[in-house]
This record gives sequence, structure tokens and C-alpha cells, in this order.
Amino acid sequence: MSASLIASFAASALGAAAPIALAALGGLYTAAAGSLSVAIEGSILVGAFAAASIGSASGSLELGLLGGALGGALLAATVAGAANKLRADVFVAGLAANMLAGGAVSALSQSFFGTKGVLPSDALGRGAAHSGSGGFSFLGQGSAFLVLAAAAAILAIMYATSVFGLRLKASGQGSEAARAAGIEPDRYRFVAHLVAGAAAGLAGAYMACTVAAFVPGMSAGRGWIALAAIYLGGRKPAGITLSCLLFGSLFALSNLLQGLRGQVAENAELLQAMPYLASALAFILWKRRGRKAARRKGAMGESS
Amino acid sequence: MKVSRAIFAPGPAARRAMALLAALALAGLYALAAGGFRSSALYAFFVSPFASPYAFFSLLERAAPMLVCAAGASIALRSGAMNLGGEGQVAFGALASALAIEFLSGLGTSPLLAQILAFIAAMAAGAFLAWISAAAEKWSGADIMLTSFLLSQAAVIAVDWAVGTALREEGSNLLAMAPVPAAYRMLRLAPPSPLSAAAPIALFIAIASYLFLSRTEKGLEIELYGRNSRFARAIGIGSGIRKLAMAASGALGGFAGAFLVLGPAGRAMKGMTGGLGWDGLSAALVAGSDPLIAAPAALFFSWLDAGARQGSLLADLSPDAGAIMKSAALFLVTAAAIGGGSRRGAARGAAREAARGEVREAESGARAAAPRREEGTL
Amino acid sequence: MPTLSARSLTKYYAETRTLANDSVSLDLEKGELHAIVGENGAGKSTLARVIAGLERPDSGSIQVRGRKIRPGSVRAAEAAGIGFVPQMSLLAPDLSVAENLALGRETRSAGFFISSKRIYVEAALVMERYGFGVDPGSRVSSLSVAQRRQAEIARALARGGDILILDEPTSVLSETEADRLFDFLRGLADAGAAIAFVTHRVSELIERADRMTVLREGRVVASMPAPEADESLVAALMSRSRTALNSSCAAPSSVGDRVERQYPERKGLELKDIRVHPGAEPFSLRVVPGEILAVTAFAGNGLERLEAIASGMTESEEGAVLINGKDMGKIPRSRLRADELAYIPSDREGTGLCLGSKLRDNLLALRRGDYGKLDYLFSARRDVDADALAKDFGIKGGIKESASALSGGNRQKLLLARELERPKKALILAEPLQGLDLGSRRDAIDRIRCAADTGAAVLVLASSVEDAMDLADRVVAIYRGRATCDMSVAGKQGSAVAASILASMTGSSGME
Repeated sequence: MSASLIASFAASALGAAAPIALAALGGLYTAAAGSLSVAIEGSILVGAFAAASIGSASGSLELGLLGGALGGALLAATVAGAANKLRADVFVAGLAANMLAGGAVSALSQSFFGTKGVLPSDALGRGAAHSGSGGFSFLGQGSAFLVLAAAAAILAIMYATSVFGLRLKASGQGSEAARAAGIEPDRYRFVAHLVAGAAAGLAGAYMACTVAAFVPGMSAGRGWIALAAIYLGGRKPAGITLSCLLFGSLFALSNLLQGLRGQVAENAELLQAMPYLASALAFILWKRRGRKAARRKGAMGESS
Repeated sequence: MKVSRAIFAPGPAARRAMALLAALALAGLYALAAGGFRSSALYAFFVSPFASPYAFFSLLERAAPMLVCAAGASIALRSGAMNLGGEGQVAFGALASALAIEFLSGLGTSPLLAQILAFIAAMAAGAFLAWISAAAEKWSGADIMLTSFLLSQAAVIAVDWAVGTALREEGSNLLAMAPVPAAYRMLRLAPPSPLSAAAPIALFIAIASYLFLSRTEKGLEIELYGRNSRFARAIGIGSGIRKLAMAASGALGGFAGAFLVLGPAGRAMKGMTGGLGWDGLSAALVAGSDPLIAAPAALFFSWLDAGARQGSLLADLSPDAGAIMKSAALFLVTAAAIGGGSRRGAARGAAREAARGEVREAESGARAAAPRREEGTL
Repeated sequence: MPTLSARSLTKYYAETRTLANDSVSLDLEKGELHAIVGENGAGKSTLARVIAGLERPDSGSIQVRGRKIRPGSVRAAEAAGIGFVPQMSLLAPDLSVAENLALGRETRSAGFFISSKRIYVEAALVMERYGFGVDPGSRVSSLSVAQRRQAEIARALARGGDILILDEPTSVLSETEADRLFDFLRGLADAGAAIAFVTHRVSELIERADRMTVLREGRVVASMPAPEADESLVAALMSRSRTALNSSCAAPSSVGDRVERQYPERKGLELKDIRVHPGAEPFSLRVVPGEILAVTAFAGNGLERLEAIASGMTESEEGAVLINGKDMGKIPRSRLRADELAYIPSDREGTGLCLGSKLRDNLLALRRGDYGKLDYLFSARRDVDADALAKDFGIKGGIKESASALSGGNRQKLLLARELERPKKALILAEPLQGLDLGSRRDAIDRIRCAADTGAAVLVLASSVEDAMDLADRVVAIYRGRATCDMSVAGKQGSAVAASILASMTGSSGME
């Protein structure tokens, strides 16, 4: 087992884990606010598309990343707006948003670029590792990774120590407590959704950077894996990051196996199912462990 | 003097209908705008799906599997489980029915018997997949919403691989299994249109599902559990009822998958599910988890799809307009109906708060909007 | 000038089509303890919440020291000095006490961030000033019920000023804790505060309040100094009708012997080796057929866990619950609840009822297996049965309407109807009389007695000694998970017995 194989596996795992982690940290805000966003999946897709199109149009990596975040936030705004103003069920609105994302991206792609297929973007490619000009590389990742890591760090810190974070958490624990403190929970929930949307959009943009293109359907369920990560991580930023590393490793492993020669490679497609199966299993086992621990504690304790 | 607010508060059904009308209006606007404000765009979108018997029968035929999926999704929703695994259950069902027909037709079994067995195989396969999520929830508390989706994602990949690679018809350019022999496909009711026995069967299934939910003891247990699972457990309704509901939901999803294989397409193809699971779930949500209302809802969605397709052929509309319109309908309906049958709620939180004291006095407008939440996990 | 003056407050809830407050006026003077009384649904909680700014009144005004304050705004109310201690907790359970106190007025560092040290210190100061023994750093969810009450009060005092409104402050407290609370409130009042408290416990108001206001169906029907009132006057003001007092069942004397002779083969209800409190020894309880045993305790001593174990809602790893000798855990729960065990949970709305379902479905929930396919297809027979049952128990409400439309008292009657309509072998009744007005309360006591007479073993879990003594033949007190008293109260009356039980609840006397 050569060192370079391990290094490339690690880089691949980190690259797969990073967007999931950012999306999950954003989703944490909505979970804490008591209004879990299931539109993360759609926001990732929209973010990837927005990044690729704006990146191509402007030739700028930075604008592409920004566009990704804005695109994701825009989708989230429709969900949050429907939930707040129209009293919609936030889950159903999230599902509708995911559907909308798929259709809208396809339609826009057709209208503006004349194709519903892959949209290459050199500008975004500059954010990936080992890019030609300026060849930036950190932990096997490109410059876009730094942006993502910074965003994740900011989200985590603000969640834990800011006034906004505290009020957000209060909003999610029975809105009476927040309202009695003069806080309007609906407003905080709305902002939480925007944050989650922007984070997921940026995560999508990053994914587009790593392949220097937008590929239809590239979110491929990662938004849902991010949700699983939020709970696997115990709704704490540190735990969430670790869970995402686990999931990222699963994707990297799947890719690695697919690249092998021989019998395995022929049926490589089937291996793509592995990360989802494994995530489901991890989630289930973790929940089981948590339940057992709670039972043990509950046997002696008493809910007061 | 009593202060009274005579607020016109239309019932949930009326609000739903208004929302759908609004969605229709939006669709019309879009058709107009995208089609360059020509009336041909409107015609293409709204009228042409009905313009000929062929078009209309195609509409019905496409709505049939969607309706069956929607009926299944409704059953799961009523029990408090959000079954997001429709795609996978449909895929499993399709594969199972394809394999069953291949085997039975090779034996020379009578077509009718073979079809029946194929449908049973499809239901079993779909039920099994869905049941896993419910069983996992009982065992560990892992939310059905997440596990059903993740398993479904894996299932779709697996089935696509099987159909497109492992079981692929030799020497064919298509990523598909061998076609089902003509004698074993479902009865065509009005050739050359694609209308098959699927449409009336789907309607029958919808009616049967409705009666199951509202007029049987198990259906009552599902409703009680879905509304308040703590209450249900205290009464003696165990969480096994959710396994039943999920299994039924998956079975219907699998059944719809069999429609795809035994219907006019006549073979199992890679990617055949084509969003059917999501369409079914959306139709169920739009219909407030009511299998009867799911029939016009499925028809409505099928119409939007057909309209978008015709619009892209005859005018310049994007065929994806269908997906956009469907999501708009879903947004509008959920906004109007405050989540009718979809079952999440700050139920435990609000219930515990309400437990101490005078609930009627303390109720306020904000509480009514709180979506109901599945207990225990998320 | 009164410290606080509410004029013609009106509040209508569209969702439930209830006129909760109809032109209610109230004056609160400095240094007084003012009781707001009324039955369930009279509008007391609404009034308290409107004054506190949690609800916006449709019309009317609130003045503090002569100046009008903006209605419907918690901030305005707090700025004017009004602090509110609600019946339902206003504390965020996963946050610490200090964070709860600071919420909305957080002391910041660097603008965005919370200065956790400083908010801790601020909270600790408040605790010290009022003599509360709550650690500001602890999470609210880890506090006992009494401690949470203290934290709520601390929060109200820290945020408000010299006007305190409390909604049913003693509903979750034991008698001693309630006494301590009122002593504390009296101290505050003597120091100049104006205090209003909502209650439906008439004895509390007569002994403790200076003035009182009686509400009935949203309107003020009387306002007077408390010494002028007596129990019967207040009760008459609170409800229009008075119901008959005669019990139709046997008086509770030597019931146990009689019934044991009648049903010799039944062993009754046995709880063997159960542990209800951390660190406590397992203990056992037996209720013989025909007997009503009440277990009473202050909150936090094991009553909740006892309920969970006895009803089978929690599986305990140690010990067992036996009904007539059979292990309850081995009986399929559906049959258990239909035929053998009745259970009225203390958590009425969360566990006892399915609010979204029809009244009929709630009433017949345990009987659901008795009906055939046709009865479900065509609901006529079920409708008739539900109607008859509702009438029998005096439940006011349409059987096809949602159960959420019922008032609190009717909801409790629904539970009683559902669980008591058929004879069962064992009854676990937790707070069975909660929310009932005087007439319904007597009726419920009768029915429970009748149920015992048919040979059931009845276990009542009650946090109030009054309820326990009204209902039971025998009372067991629990302190820190240990049974500290086991005495027969059949036929006995009076405060000496009650005092003895109370003492046991504080752990100061041994088993009798």
C-alpha cells in the first residue's frame, strides 16, 4: 500500500466530505430552529448550476462561488417564504423545492446554454487542486476548499457562541420561550433557512469546481446524507464534521473500487450504491446505540 | 356586546381546490410567457392533451401508475411515516415483475396467471424494501424519512445496473431487458392508444385504499397512530402498525413498477422509474393523503406533464415545465391546506405544554401553523 | 392609584371560536396578593397572558401607574415592570438557566458573541437575591419541577419589576412547596410588589389572597376582598349549577374483605420490586381486588416513573407488574388494554387523547376490536354507542367533532368514559380528577368507587393529598422512591390524617 495511494485516498475522501459537511452545518441551523430544511438537496444542485453558469459567463471563480451560494439561498428563500408567509408545511415545501430545483435547472440550462447535459466551466476548474495556473494545492484540495473550510468554520463558531445562535436555539425549543423573551422565532427560522441554503449552494459550487463542470443531477442524494450527518453528529458541529468524514470516505472508497481493473470494474456501477447503503446502515446503528444508552440512563433516572 | 369575527374560513378541500386553480393559472401564465405570448402555446399546453382520444388515453395511462404510487404514499403518510423511497420501491417492483414474467412465460404459464403472479412478486419486492425502513425505525428509532430515501437511492442504482448491465438483453442497443412477450403484456383497451387495463385497475386500487384507510379497523389504527403515536401506544396500538402501513405503501409502489414493465412500454429499461415515486408522493401530498382525491391529483399532474411535452413539441416550451408546474402546485397546496394529511407537528411539545391547564384559552394563531412532527427521532 | 389597571379587555380566539375574555377589568394595588379564580375555560389564563403582553387583546387597555402600555408586547410589559410566571414553562429546556434569564437581553462581548461568564454571574446574583438554590449553569431540562418553578420566577423577577403575574403557580407543586411559594410571594408583596395569581383552588385563594376576582365564561362576575368570601360562595359564583352529592355506590369501609370474599381467585394488582428513583431500593406494592390505593408524592420523588412502569409505557429491567398473577408484559398490549387494564395518563393531551381524531374514535378506541367489518364500513352502530357513552358521562361535544374542540373538563370526562365504561381487572389512574369542576369531580369519584366494587384493583396516582383522601381506601406516600407511609384512610377525615401523610411525603416518618 503505497503512501501516494493513501494520500490520494485521503484527498478524495476529504474532497467528498467537505461539501457534505458544509451543507450539514448549514442544515444544523434549521434543525436547531425546529424547522429542518429538506431542501438542502435542491440547494446543492442549484448552487452547482449557478456556479457553473456564472463562472462561465464571468470567467471568474470568485463570482461563480458567490453565485452558487446565492442560488442556494434563493431556493431556500422560496421554502422559508412559503413556510413563513403562507403557513406551508416546511417539509412539504422542501420537497416541492427539490422538485423545482431539478426542473428549473434543466429548463434554464436548456434556455441559456442549449443543452441539458454537462456544462463545463474552466473558471471553476481553477478552484480545484493542481490547476495549471498558480497550481494551488492544500491537503490535496484546491483554493475553493479554503473558501469552503472558512465558511464551515464561521458557521460552527457562530452557532456555538453568538447571540444569534442562542436565540436560534431558543426559537427551536418551544417558541413560547423565545416569544416571551421578545424574540420572534419565525424571523430566526427564516434566516436559518437562508443560511442553510447558502451553505448548501456553496457546497454545490465546490462540487462543480472539483470536476470543473455542472453535471445534471450531481447532488445525487448528498443533501440527504447531510441530514443524516446532522443527527449522527449529535447536532453538534464537531460530531457533524466527523460524520461527514466518514461519509466522504465511503464515497472515496466507492470511487477507488470502481477504478480497479477486472471483474470489479465491470460491475463498478453497482458500487455506486454502496455509500447510500452504508450511510443508511451507519445512521441506523448509531440511532440504536443512542437508544440503548438512553434506556440505560433512563432506567435509573427520572424525567422531571 | 360580543365581538365576533365572521371570517370566511373555507374548508380544507375548498382551499386545496383553490390552490390547484392557482397553479393552473400559473401554468397558463408560464405557457403564455415562454411561448412568446402566442395562443398556440396556450393551446398546446392546455388543450392538446385532450384534443384527441389518443392524447387523452395517453394522459390516463400515464396517470395510472402515479395514482397507485400516490395511494401507497397516502397510506404511509397517514401512519405518520414520510415514505421517500417511492423510486426504489417502484424499481424493485418493476424488476421483480420482469423477472417473474420472464420465468413464467418461459414455462408457458397462462398469461393471466403469469400476470397475477408477476404483480404479486412486484408487491412483495416493493413491500419488503419499504418494510426495512419501518423495521429499522422500530429497532433503532432511525427516521423512516431518511432511511427510506437512502435505501431507495441504493435500490435504484442496483436495479439500473441489473437491467442495464447484468440482465441486459443480449445484442440489443438498448439498456434494457428482453421485451415481455406480447401475450403477457397487459390488455390494451383502445389501441393504438397506450391505454391499458392499468387505468381501471389503478382507480380500483385508489378506491380500495380509501376504504382501507377510512373504513376498516386497521385503517383507524393507522390514523390514530399517525396523529399521536404516544396515545396509540398507550391504547395498545403497537408500532407494528407502521410496518404494516409502510409495507402496504411499498407494495403499491411495487405494483406501479409492474405497470411500467407490463404496460405499453413492454420491457424493463434503465431509468424507467423516471421520477414516478416522487410524482406519486407529490400527488398524495397535494391530495392531502386521501387516495380518492389522489385520482384527480394524479390526472392533474399527468396533464401538466403532457402539456409541457406537447408545449415543447408544438411551441417552444421546455419539457421540464412539467416538473416546475408540479412543484408550484405542491407549494400552493401546502400553503393553503396547512399540511392536511402530512403528519408532522410540534405535537409532543405542544401537547406537553397543553397538558398543564387550559388549552383552549392558551391557543393562539401561531400554534396552528406548526407542522406535525414524527415522534422520537428528528 | 392602582399599580396596574386593566380595562375592558376582550380577546377572541378564531381557531376555537371562543370569546375567552369579554370586557374584563381588573385593578391591582401595590402590596396586594390578588387571586383570579374561575373554572376551566373561564378565561383566567388568557387574562394573565394578555396582561403579560403574550397575547394582544382585541380591545381594551392596560395602564401601569397611570400610563398606558402597548398591548400585545412582551417587551413593553416588561419595561413597565410586569413579570410573568406561566403555567406552561417559558424556559427553553436545552439551554442553561443563565442563558434563559439572559435571552433577548444578552450581555455581549464584541457585539456578536455572548459573554457567558457575565450572564452566569448576573443569573447567580438574581438567585442569591431571592434565595433560590438553583445553579445558573445547569440545563433547564435537568432541574426538578420545583427548581424549574424557581427558575421561572427568577426569570420573571429579573426581567420584570414590581408587578408579578403567576398562572396556576402551585399546580405542579406539593403542598409544602406551595406554602413556601406563597410565603415568598407575601414577602414580595409586603416589600411593595403587586402580585396577581390565577388559580382554581378555592381554598388557596381564601387562605392566601387579599382580594379576588371571579371569572365565569369570560366575564367578571365578582370582585371583592378575600376575607368576605367563603368556599360555597365562591363555588356558586364559579359555576352555575350545583350537583347532587349522593354516592350511589358502597361506602369505603371493609371493602377489601368483602370483595376478596367475592372474587377469591383474583390476586389483584402487584408491582414487584420496582425502582422508581435513582439510588432507591426496589419496593413492592399490592392492591387487592376491590381496593383503591392512592400513591401520593411530591414531584420528583418517583411518581412519574411509577406511573410509567405500572401502566406498561416503560419497560423496567427490574421487577414486574402482575395482574391477577399474570405478568403484564407478557399479555399482548392490545388485549391488555381492551380487557384487563384501564389507564388514565397524567399527560392528558399528549398521551391520553388523540386530539386530531373524532370524539367517537377516542371514546371507542379501546373497543375497536369489538366491531366487525360492516360496523366500520357503515358507522351507524359505532355512532350510537359513542353517543350513549358520551351522554352517560356528561361529555359536552359532538361525537363526530374533533376531540380538540372539547374543553379541559370534557377531555377528562372523555378519558374517564373510555377507561371506566367497562369493568376491568386493574385500573391505573394518574391524576384522574384533573380539570374537573366540583360536580364532575364528585361524579368521577363515585364511578371510580363503583369500578372498585366490581372487583377491580384500583391504583390512583395523585400529587395532591386531597385527591388521594377523597378517592382512596388506603394511601401510600413515597419519598425519594421509598414507600414511607401506608395507611388506611377509609372513612377517616380531617387534617390530622392529611398532615400525617404529608409528613411521610417529606420523609420524616416511617412506615405505619
